[in-house]
This record gives sequence, structure tokens and C-alpha cells, in this order.
Amino acid sequence: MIAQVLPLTRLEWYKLRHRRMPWILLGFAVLLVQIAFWASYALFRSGEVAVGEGGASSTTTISTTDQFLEMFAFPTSLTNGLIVAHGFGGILLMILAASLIGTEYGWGTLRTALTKGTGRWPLLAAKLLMLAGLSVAVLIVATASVAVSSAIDLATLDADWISSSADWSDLGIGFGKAVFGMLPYIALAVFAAVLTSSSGAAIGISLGYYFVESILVNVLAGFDWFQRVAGFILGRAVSGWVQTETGVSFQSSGTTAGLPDASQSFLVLLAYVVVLSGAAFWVFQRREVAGARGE
Amino acid sequence: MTDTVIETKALTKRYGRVLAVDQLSLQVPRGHVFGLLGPNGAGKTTVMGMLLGLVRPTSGSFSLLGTNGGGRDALRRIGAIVETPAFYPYLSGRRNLAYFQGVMGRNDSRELDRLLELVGLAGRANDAFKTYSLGMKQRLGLAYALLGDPELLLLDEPTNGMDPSGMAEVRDLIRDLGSEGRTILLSSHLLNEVEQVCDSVAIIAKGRLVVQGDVADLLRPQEQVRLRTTDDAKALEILTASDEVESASAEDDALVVTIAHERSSELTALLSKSEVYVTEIAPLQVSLEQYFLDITGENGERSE
Repeated sequence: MIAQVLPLTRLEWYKLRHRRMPWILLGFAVLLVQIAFWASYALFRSGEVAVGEGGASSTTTISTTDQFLEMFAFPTSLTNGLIVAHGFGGILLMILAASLIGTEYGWGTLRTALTKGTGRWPLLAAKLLMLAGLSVAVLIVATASVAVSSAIDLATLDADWISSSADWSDLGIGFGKAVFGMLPYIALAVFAAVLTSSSGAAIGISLGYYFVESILVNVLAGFDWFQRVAGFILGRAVSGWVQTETGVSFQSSGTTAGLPDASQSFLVLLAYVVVLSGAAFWVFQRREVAGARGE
Repeated sequence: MTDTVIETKALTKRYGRVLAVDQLSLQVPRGHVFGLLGPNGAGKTTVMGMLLGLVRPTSGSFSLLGTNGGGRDALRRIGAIVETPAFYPYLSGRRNLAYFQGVMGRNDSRELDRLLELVGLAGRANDAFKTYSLGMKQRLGLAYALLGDPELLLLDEPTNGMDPSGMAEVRDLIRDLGSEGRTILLSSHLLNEVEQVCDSVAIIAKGRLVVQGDVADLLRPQEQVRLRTTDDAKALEILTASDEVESASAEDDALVVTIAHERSSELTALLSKSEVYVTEIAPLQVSLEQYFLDITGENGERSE
């Protein structure tokens, strides 16, 4: 089965790289990361900088030059870039995943592919595998763009390039966590696309869930009963999973107080990935495939 | 090796209260160009969809190339276009074909060149699919169906949207493909298309099989000409008595004669011997609906 999925994954990339959408989304991801980076630089130049220590709701002012320069030195700058890229990248990958699957229904190309004897299971697996690969690529490109900006900053500031508290292993762990933290959102978008057979509806459902959940988490945070179930909510589990040892969360939405620990978060996220992907496979396998709808 | 390439047994598809295909039993012999003829909404595309695994039958069974229920191995030996061919709009015709060739586990650029040339798209092969006319899309669909040199072709209304010259080219191509020994299942709502291209035909209406057999037996006797003469009464007498003519009748102010179109010139010779001269002669276009009325009774069974 794997022998069939890997060539199909390569073919999915063949199709995707000729589309404009993924390149636009990638450019958008890099742009957002750069805006976040240079905004920090501008704040430093103005004499004050705020970072998301303990989450967006409780910011701490870093007033010393050394502390600030530490943020721009390697690998801290890359970890910070990863934090920003993960937040935006998840949203952009949901849009891409929903479009990738939904347009196959809308254009009627799913029917064309299936009539050549392509199994449904390998076809969907190839799409998921490619999306997982893209999540890695988005993080690499966005983080690499931060590395370039960081190098420019450090050169102009005549500062040390390596942070005194540098821990490169944190960067690797953070990267792995960021990739895994994106997978439930990809699975959500894929499931929505398979369920609705429409890219527009799938994008709406995925983004709607993402933002409505963020709002509800803040609204319901004061209720005791909510605290008991909060750890099982997707956004909270992602926050719990990607938070660093210093308490800085990759997720900017919601309060970081009472986040589930990494182990529980990992299991919750794994459950989301398995259930949403499994449901997507089940629906994809069983549903009859109609012709193009001109979407 | 089985002589029946497609066999359906009581194949049925129901969408809620709508019975799209009703107890359809068909046999498509190897090497035949087989027509599935019926008006729009007769269930032709649903039958194709079930054979290709896109639509799940409600009941009944079918075998494709000797494999019960089709399956991926059988599909790899089949080329098919169902409804309007659907391809990636942003990819060129050539890249679309290359993608689907890759899906089949193959990579042969010479085959792409050959197929694009065959369907007359070589000059536009590098243009995006979204810029193609409907006729060009149909041609690309044919090239796609021929990828991998399949032994069975399922073609659903392959000339839909084409101009007359394009239709003629595609029909010639289908005939050529059939003459190579390939089995072709061609669905169409055009009586003359099936008549020109197919060896055998199954006529379906409202999802039910009305009749199945050789085209020569089922369709060609329906060919009729309408003619006016210098003496219609005498002409009718002569034609009715002739062994060459299957039937003749007076309708309105003309005569309607059942005879193969290519033999209609014999009528003028026959009548002129008795000094009756044809003043007007034209093939009578029998609509599919009229034809169905002719061969079916109220209960959908063939009238004998």
C-alpha cells in the first residue's frame, strides 16, 4: 500500500506546484512572519518591546538591550519565528487542505482519477501525506526567512550571533511540536472537505471552528465546569502541546492558565488526528462520486 | 478468456424514490462496439458510474473483464470518460495526461505525443485546459481514456458539444478503435450515432432494458424516406408490392417508405420503370422518442 501512496504523493505535488494558490499562501506565511519580526525590531528601536511571555494576555516588557539582542540571536530568533509561523501556518494549511480536496469534487477530477483504477484509500492518504510534508516545508521556509532577517539585524546591530543561553535542541523539539500541532487542523479541513464535497464550505467550517473556538474558550474560561473539559478542546490541546518550558506558548489565542500538560495534549491531539482522518477516510471510501459542479 | 466483457445481472440503482436503473441485465461481447442508447435521463450515465465503481448499486451484480464487481485491477484495463471530461483547469492538456498516466504508474512521453496527435490536440497540448472549447475537452477526454492502451473503453456521450466535423472525426476514431479488436461501450442519445458506430445496441428507457441486439436488426429497419411523386397512388401500389421495400404508406400529402437510406436511390429506378417519377425525396428523421414509441408498448415492453 505504501508503495502506491508514495508515487501518488509525488503526483499530488506535481499538480500542486503548478497551482498559484500554495505559492501565494506560502508567500503570505513568510510575509506575516516578517511583519512580526520587523515589528519587534521597530519596537526595540523605539526603546520598548513586548513579547508573549505567558501568553498574549500577560505581556512582559523587556527593557534591556541585552535581553532584546538575545531575542534576535540564533537560535532564539528561529524559535520565535517558529512560534509565529506555526500560528499563521496552521490557518493557511487549513485553507490549502480544504481547497485541495474540495476542488477535486468541484472540478470533477476525483471521478477522472478514480476511473483510472486509483484506489480511494491511497488517493486520500497521498493527499494527507503531502499536506503533512507541506506543513514541514512552510515551517522551514518561514523559519529560514527569519534566519535571513535575523542575520541582517545582527549585522547592523553588531551583536553576538549566538545566544548565550542557546539550546539548539529546543529548536529541533519546537519544530517537531509545531509540525504535529498543525496536523489536527489539516485533518479537520480534510474531513470538512470530504464531508461537504466543497472547498468553500470546508474553508468556512475549518476557519469558523478555529475562530469560534478561540472566542468560546475566552468567554467560558471563568466557569468551573469548563476547566474540567478545556484540556480536550483542540485549540487548548495544541497550546498545551506546543508551549515551551519557559511558558511561552506557540498559540497566541486564549489564556495559557490551566493548559493541559504536554503528555495529555499529545494524546488529545493524536485522538483528533485519528478520529478526523478516520472519519474522512470512511466518508471518502463510501460516498458516491458525482461529476463536476463547476466550483 | 471470457467472450463477455461486461455482464450485468438485474443491476438496480435507486435514489430515494427515483428508480434510476431497474433490473438491468446486459451482455457486452468481446470485440464489439456496443451502444447503450436511450434518451436523456434513461440511466445510461448511472450504469457507467456503477461499472466504474463511482456509484454503488442498490442491488444486482456485474462483472467487468471477468472480475466480479469490477475493482481496481479491472479498472486499470479500462479507459473511460463519463459525462463531460473533467481535468485540472490550470494544467495544460499534456500535463493533465501526464498526471493521469502517472496515476497508472506509467511515464511515457511518446504515448502522450501519439495520443495528442491522434485526437487532434497536438497544437494546443501546452495550453491550459480551462482555455479549451467543449469539443477540445471531449478530445482530451478521449486521449485520457486511451492512456495505457485499454482493452475496454466506456465512452459516455463522447461527441457531446462537438461541431459536426468534430463528431464525424470522433465517430471515425471510435470505429477505428473498434476495428482493432477493442471492446467499446458507447452511451448515446443519438440514434444515428449508434447506428453509424456500433455493432450491437441495448436500448434503455427509464432505467429499464427495452431491447438488446445487433444494430442491423434493431435500428436499420427503422430507416425511412419521405417522397413525393407524379402519381402517389400508383407509386404506393408499386412500392407496397415490391420485395425491396419493407413498408410503404401514405401520410399527409406524401409517401413514407421504410428502406435503408443508402438504397433509397433504388426507389426512383423502381418507380420510373412504371413511369412514375419522384419529384421529391428526403430521409425521414425519426426521433429517438418516436422510435421508442414504435418499439415499446405502454408497459415498456417491445411490441412485436
